[in-house]
Amino acid sequence: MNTVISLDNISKAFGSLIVFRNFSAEFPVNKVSCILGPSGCGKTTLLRILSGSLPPDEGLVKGMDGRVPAYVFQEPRLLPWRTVKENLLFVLEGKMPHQHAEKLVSEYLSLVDLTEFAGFYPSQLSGGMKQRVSLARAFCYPADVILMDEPFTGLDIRLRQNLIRSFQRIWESHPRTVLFVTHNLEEALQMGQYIHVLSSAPARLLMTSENAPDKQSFLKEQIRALIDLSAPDQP
Amino acid sequence: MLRLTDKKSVREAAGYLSGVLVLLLVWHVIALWLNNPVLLPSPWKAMAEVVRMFLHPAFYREWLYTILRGLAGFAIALMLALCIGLASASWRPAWFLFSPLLGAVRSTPVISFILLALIWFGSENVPVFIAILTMLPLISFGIIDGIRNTDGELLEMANSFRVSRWNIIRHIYVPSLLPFLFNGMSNAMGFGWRAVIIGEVLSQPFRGIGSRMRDAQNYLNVPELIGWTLVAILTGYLFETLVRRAEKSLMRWKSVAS
Repeated sequence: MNTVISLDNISKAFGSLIVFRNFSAEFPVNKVSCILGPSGCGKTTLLRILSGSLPPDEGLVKGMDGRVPAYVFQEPRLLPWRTVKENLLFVLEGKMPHQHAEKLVSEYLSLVDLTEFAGFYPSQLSGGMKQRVSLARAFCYPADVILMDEPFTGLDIRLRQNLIRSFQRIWESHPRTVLFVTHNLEEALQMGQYIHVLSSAPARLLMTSENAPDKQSFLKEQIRALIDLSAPDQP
Repeated sequence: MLRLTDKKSVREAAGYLSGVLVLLLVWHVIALWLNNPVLLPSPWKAMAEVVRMFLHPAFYREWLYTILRGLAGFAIALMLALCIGLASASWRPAWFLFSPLLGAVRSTPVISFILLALIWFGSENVPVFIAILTMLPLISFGIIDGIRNTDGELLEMANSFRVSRWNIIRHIYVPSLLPFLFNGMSNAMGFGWRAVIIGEVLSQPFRGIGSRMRDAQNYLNVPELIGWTLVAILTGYLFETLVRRAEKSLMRWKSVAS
């Protein structure tokens, strides 16, 4: 199997709005790649093209054959009438024996510190807890690629840090290819092993860099010079 | 926590009870003032009449017939509404066909159906027919609204995780539909009983609350007429409560403290 997932000369337009024109990028397998760009630059479209739910007008997606994607959406998107545990079982049902599914669910709930809340309904949880359930749902799913679409937007800094820690714990115990879309620079530097910076639409790849703790202040300045990320946090 | 809500519900019940008592008192005063027990008996006399009726075994036979008619109408209306509702919500042509029809049925005065039904059917079948026509649009529109209100984001989520069609129906469409369906059903129960009884009064089947009300009216027996009316109110209330109870037990997730 390929060691990278790549977009090869992708073009995509919605009517007269050109989102991508001859766009290429590579994302290494089993690493966390952050895609950083201003609001409305086509980050969500990029994820949808990668997952196969939106076919590009031109170009190829390589390395996704046989790889199963799972989503963490911007909103938690939990079924309000099912408990936390049942919400996870909902996506696993029919894909594995029930006992195995139960085991996975309790394992991943403990990774996001929600074991005691397995029997709670979403309405009984805080916003941050709901997003942790959504995180556990994507990671417990037998997916090779986790697509995360600004999942921490709208949460305060403390909750964000909390979620990033949950994410790191869950990723370290079960590494997966993660594509994390955000317009928050700090978040990208904290989470990503690779950083890809996109321009506003039609999106160009302004920069791709490996992230390392000792490079962060340098990266930060470089990225700030490249794009204006001062857009409001809420879409 | 529990004790607090208990106290609150006790206070609420006491409020309703005093409201009812005031109404009875007003009735009593008017009856005293008229001083004509044939035209308007006192509330105590009317209640004594109800008690007398309840003690009479023949009463239950009459009541049973009305209840069976209402339930038969409800069951048939529910089945038809499920077919019409599912078809209309998932297939545009069915919506264009049924929505004007249901809208027209909903706005038609009950009496028009009764007059037509009296010409078309035997008197035994008129009340059930009326019940079906009254309940059908209420339940159908409930089902259609429910399906249309299903959260598109949840459907997208389920599809992205490749959840089977059957599980999407079972775990997303059905739970989204239930509150709307129950709302339609409890409305149908409220309007349905009235329609059944009007149908009975006018078509005069062999047994039924409506037939006995008509008899009482013929003999100017006001206490009995009021007695049957109270029974009719009780019946409607009983079945609406039953529907609400069923709703609550099916949607326990809604009543958890948040």
